[in-house]
Amino acid sequence: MKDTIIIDYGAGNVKSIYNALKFLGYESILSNNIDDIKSAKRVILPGVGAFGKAMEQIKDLELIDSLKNHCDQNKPFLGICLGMQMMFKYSEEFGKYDGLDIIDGHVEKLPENQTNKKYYRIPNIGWYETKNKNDFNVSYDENLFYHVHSYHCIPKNKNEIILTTMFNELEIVVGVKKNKALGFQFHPEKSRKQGLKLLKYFCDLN
Amino acid sequence: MKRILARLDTKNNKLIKSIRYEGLKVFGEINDYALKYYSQGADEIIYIDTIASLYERNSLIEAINFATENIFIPFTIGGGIKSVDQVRGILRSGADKIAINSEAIRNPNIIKDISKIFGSQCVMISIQAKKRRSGKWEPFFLNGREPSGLDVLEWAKTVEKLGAGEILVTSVDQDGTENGFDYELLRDISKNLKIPVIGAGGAKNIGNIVDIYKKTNVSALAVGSILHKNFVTIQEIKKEINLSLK
Repeated sequence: MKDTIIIDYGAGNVKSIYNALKFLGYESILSNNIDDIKSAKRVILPGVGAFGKAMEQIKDLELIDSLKNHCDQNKPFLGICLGMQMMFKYSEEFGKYDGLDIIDGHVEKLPENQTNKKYYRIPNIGWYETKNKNDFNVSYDENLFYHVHSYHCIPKNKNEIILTTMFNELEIVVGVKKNKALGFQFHPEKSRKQGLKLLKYFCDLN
Repeated sequence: MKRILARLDTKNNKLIKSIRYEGLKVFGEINDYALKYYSQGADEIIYIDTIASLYERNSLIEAINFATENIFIPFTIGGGIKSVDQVRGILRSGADKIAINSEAIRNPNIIKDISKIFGSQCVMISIQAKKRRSGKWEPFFLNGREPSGLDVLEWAKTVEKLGAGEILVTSVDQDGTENGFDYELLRDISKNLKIPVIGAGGAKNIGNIVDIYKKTNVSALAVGSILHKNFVTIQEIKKEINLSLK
């Protein structure tokens, strides 16, 4: 039986997530089928690209309700990168678009500050150190994760923040958790052993 | 934190390295080197199929398959990419980014098309810059063979506007020489762009790498020759970066 499904809606590097899980010894399937989501123990929502376009694809596939139901039943859910952003109520990327509203809050552009004549490069790309928040207790030998994003999430409920990192002088949220719904702004499947450890943490949630 | 990218130039699935885009030395199997640089701590890997533009196909699919199963860091595929469908296929196979040079020069709108569909974060525009007598640089294409008639700085600003997420700028004059990066080229490009710039071509030693990071605004450097020849390891480079740039 395949417990874990990776939502394959045309945006996102599904193959890398699939292979990372396989490397860890967990079988998964790529699917965009409602019945698969209903019967899944765990759902992973990947995503790269633009928020509005990705939500449109999810909507066209009629997956919104089943994804929300999955979380309502307190089953493990993981949003990665844009997938995490889509868990929020809305995003300000190219207008205002509704998200899945699994987590209260919104998504906005990283600030292009120009203090000291230094501009902050966007997209923000690179390996950044994270800080655990709210008793999130996974620890790593090397605390660096691969980020690539131009937008960031702002949760309303600060208790739902589990990981932050610094974007220049600004502390931004890069990990959230509400019950068994998790979101990571960075790519755990591209972040060496420490990233795999977070994926394992998710796969061991029951 | 400044990134160090391992750059793998390939031909028929072998790791090769040219000097100034001429001639070549064959090092061995790409996958062995990819795994080695992953273990050494590379931040990313860039695969460039050096003959793809000439033969109109990219032959890196086996390397992509190997990487997605064994190498858990981001990687970029370049060489001979000409269409949105091709990009879709490469990204679906597990690559994180694609690098484009020749087709972007022939048809700049492809940058817009790709970034709109897949996002800017996966669009790396590769610029092969050759220094001219005027003191300016000209972008070359078809693996450093054909002059474009453009100006590197103007071209870089254009691709940024069209939706590129990163620029990989390689000095054709320095590439493979191990004589040091083209400091002025990297300084001018990184000063004039808002997206991340990856410098390449001519990495000499650790001192040269640290020096470029101190004196320019590049976000990353791509290193090939001196890694392939075991003159230095990525661990050693990163250790020195951590000591010198904090």
